[in-house]
Amino acid sequence: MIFTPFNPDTDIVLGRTLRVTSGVWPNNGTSISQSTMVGDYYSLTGSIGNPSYGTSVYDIRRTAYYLNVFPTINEFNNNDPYLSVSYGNIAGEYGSGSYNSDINFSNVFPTKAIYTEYKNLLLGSTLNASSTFVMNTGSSTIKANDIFVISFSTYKMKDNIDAGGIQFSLSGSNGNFTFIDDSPFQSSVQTSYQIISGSLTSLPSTPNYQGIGVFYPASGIIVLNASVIANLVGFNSLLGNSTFSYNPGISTVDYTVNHQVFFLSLTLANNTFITQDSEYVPSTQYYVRVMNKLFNYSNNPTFVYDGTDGVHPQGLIYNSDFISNPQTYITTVGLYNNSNELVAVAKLSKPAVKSFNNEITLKVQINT
Amino acid sequence: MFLDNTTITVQAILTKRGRELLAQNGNINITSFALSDDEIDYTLYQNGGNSAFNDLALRNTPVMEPLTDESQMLKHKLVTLTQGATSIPVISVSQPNIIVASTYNGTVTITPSTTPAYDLQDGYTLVLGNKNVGTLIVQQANATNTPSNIIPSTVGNINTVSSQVVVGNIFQFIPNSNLSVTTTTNLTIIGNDSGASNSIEVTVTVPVQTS
Repeated sequence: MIFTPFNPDTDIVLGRTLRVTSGVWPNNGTSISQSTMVGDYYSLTGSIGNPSYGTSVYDIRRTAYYLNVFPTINEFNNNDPYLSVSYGNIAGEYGSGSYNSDINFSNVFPTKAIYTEYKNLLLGSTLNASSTFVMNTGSSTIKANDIFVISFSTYKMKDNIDAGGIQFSLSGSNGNFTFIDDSPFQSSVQTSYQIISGSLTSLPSTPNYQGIGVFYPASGIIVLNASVIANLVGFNSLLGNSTFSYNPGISTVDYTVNHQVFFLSLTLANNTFITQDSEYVPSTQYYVRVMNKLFNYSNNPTFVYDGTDGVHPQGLIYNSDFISNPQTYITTVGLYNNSNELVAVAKLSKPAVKSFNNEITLKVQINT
Repeated sequence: MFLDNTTITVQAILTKRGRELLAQNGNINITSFALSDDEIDYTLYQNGGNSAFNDLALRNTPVMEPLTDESQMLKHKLVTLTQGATSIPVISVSQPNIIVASTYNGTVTITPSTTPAYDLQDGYTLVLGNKNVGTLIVQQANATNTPSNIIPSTVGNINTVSSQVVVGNIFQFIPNSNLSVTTTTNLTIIGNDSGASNSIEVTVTVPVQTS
């Protein structure tokens, strides 16, 4: 007997879901240096305010809406973005990028479009046109009329970004600031968490809520209160250039400067962006029960004589020890359908010894 | 508290055939398992004595990663025999090879047998490597009477298009009378219970035409 049927009642476990965690960054890394990050605006245009592609402000590649961010120049060269950063403003007629210098008229509203997109996505069905993001300040809340958004690529974050595992830093005229989510201080799983100051290696004893932002794990999105962040970190004349300043009311350029300022603040922070993701993989488990009397002999050609030596008949067991105490060394498990077609195969990490003196249970898992 | 090591957990991958079935039917309907030891060289076992190191070479054998090509996996399956067996089942047929003329009007009977007695329930699977040489028919079906056109993975590199597969106990071979040139192919016989296999050559000769 070479095939052993499974007992569906006891050997097959259907509908299992396994959580598989990994790092978001290249090579499944959990962290990346923020200083190596590359944004597509600067690199593609060569100089700020002078897009090298497209003549229309409607061209989304002019990054009026968002910047794609690459961990390093390698991913940039491969056009493999990991996240985007954007700036949204609930009013929209204000906020950089809403003014079309080509026609001297405000008819493009990227910041309002961004704000509404994320609001509709994240705030649920009860919102109305005047609804805003609301951040926790501890005893009360604060509205965020303009926002910075970090949005991870779905391909990179898989099913969600893990709460309690994110950390990023921003740098500005007031210094470096590091942020985490407040899930370690929550007693139950939430759909969103507040962003607070602190680091994963040095958690504050109690969270200090400053209305900084909100983290949505299932969406892989971090929404930051732009005005709070700008005041806290100091988004004024980064790199000594007044162009690199947070200004929600700017209206004289045809590109959005605010999310570039935010991205610049990310890269100037001499720290690492820490993130890990989770994937929920449905699987089926098959319990291969190798009882003591089963599979103690082998069709392996080295297990027997081949009958060519003129002394030992073909099929005679080669090792004399195996006649009294046969042993096999399992390396492979094959799973078959009712037509005896090999449909799945698993390998053991090292041979498992099988004899009449032992039994082995193998849990074979198939992710589908 | 120590780890429970009585259960070994392994991750399986779908073979190409498994993926095909999953795409076609939405499931792969696994019903049974088999085990193999393809990587192991049993001649490295040190006979005699009670040393715990007799099988060190076998236990240390590095195991290869699984392949998705089902024809390359589980070529040598483990088999269940009664304790005290001294031999592994060996399949034999009465003829060491088959040589028959394409003009032969009769049939060639193929009666595999397994020593020690085995394959009595599920019979044998015969794979004719090149079905252009002739046709296999089942003279006596196996006990479970489950005809199959599936080539067992133990056969290895067989072209499913050009080969013929039959399942039974006793078979007949009818040469192709329209064959234009003398052709030789392999006939592989696999014991469906034992996993044992044997292979013989089948040659169908075409008489030389004289003008």
